[in-house]
Amino acid sequence: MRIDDSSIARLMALSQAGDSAAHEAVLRACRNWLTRYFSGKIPSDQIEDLVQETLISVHRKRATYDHTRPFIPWLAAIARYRWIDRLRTVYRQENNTAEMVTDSIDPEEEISASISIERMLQMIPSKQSEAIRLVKLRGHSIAEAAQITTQSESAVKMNIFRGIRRLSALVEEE
Amino acid sequence: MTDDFISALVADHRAVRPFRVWPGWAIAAAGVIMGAIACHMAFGIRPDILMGEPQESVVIRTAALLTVGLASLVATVSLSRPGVGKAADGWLWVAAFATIFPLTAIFYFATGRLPDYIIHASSGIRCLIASTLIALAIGTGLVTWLRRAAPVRPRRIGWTVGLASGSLGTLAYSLTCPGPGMAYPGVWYTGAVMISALAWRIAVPHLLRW
Repeated sequence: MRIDDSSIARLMALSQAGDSAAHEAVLRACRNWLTRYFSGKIPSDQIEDLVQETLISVHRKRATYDHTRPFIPWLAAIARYRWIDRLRTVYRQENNTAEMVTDSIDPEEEISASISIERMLQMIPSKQSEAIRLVKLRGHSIAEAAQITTQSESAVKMNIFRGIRRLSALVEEE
Repeated sequence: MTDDFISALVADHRAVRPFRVWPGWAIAAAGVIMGAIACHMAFGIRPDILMGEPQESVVIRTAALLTVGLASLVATVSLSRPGVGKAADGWLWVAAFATIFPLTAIFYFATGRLPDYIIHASSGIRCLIASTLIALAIGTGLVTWLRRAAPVRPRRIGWTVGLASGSLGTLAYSLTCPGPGMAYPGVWYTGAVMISALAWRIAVPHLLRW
């Protein structure tokens, strides 16, 4: 089911009033929209998790939707917020080196995901993007990345930290 | 998998009271009024304001604090609900304009014309403490209200909550403040507003995480 903004705005009003059938219809429509939204932004095997997290947010924060306004911008803002949160979580998981690229199920989807990440990486300083590319995308250890880039290990860590922070800010501004 | 998940969410579903923005305005207004009354009882309103003939500098600084406070509050209210493409940057321009006060103080200091009494005035510390305490009360009220909200730009709303509470808290105190001219508020009012802005900028993203 594709989202028609005015219909789903009406359904959300009913959902806020306690209509469970309307709430279910809203969540199903959101699921489809979110699946499309996240494909190309994260690896395909992580999409369902992120969709579920975002559906929980939609469910918990449904009171903040103003049904006199368009629905899609409200949903898109929540989706973007969850996506940024996911980016931060990925950074915190220090030893999980292949967080952003996984064995691809759908090569086309995977290519568009990496294009999206590449586009973002081009918007931050080269030392930071290189460190993120080596450690987070290609799975090198901090020590290996330090050797390849001729930076110290602490410089690589700092560049990853600053780079992720910048990426988060860029996504937030986008 | 997601079908079962959606069914579980639907099972938890019940009617909700829509989130309203008017409590944010009410909290800020109540904070300013109660803060001003408390300051009046502690220090007394400035005589020129009581007589209805405030000095020009008092009018300008009051207008500046009120404008920064309201613009930041408008942005806070706008940022309280998710939405993309919202234009809520007016507070940045207003805050930029208000830097005329600290810039004046810096200019006087750099040219050696900043009077000593501005730095050493006992009312300066009083100004800083009273303004910051009122700002803390207003900010706490705003954050409590925002916990029902869904801000998707936590750092930005941290700044707007800090600037709104700092400016409005300082406004409440300034009605009793004996400090004259432009340089005095440039030092002490700026200090109070900046303390509040930085403190809430750091605290709000943690307090409003969802």
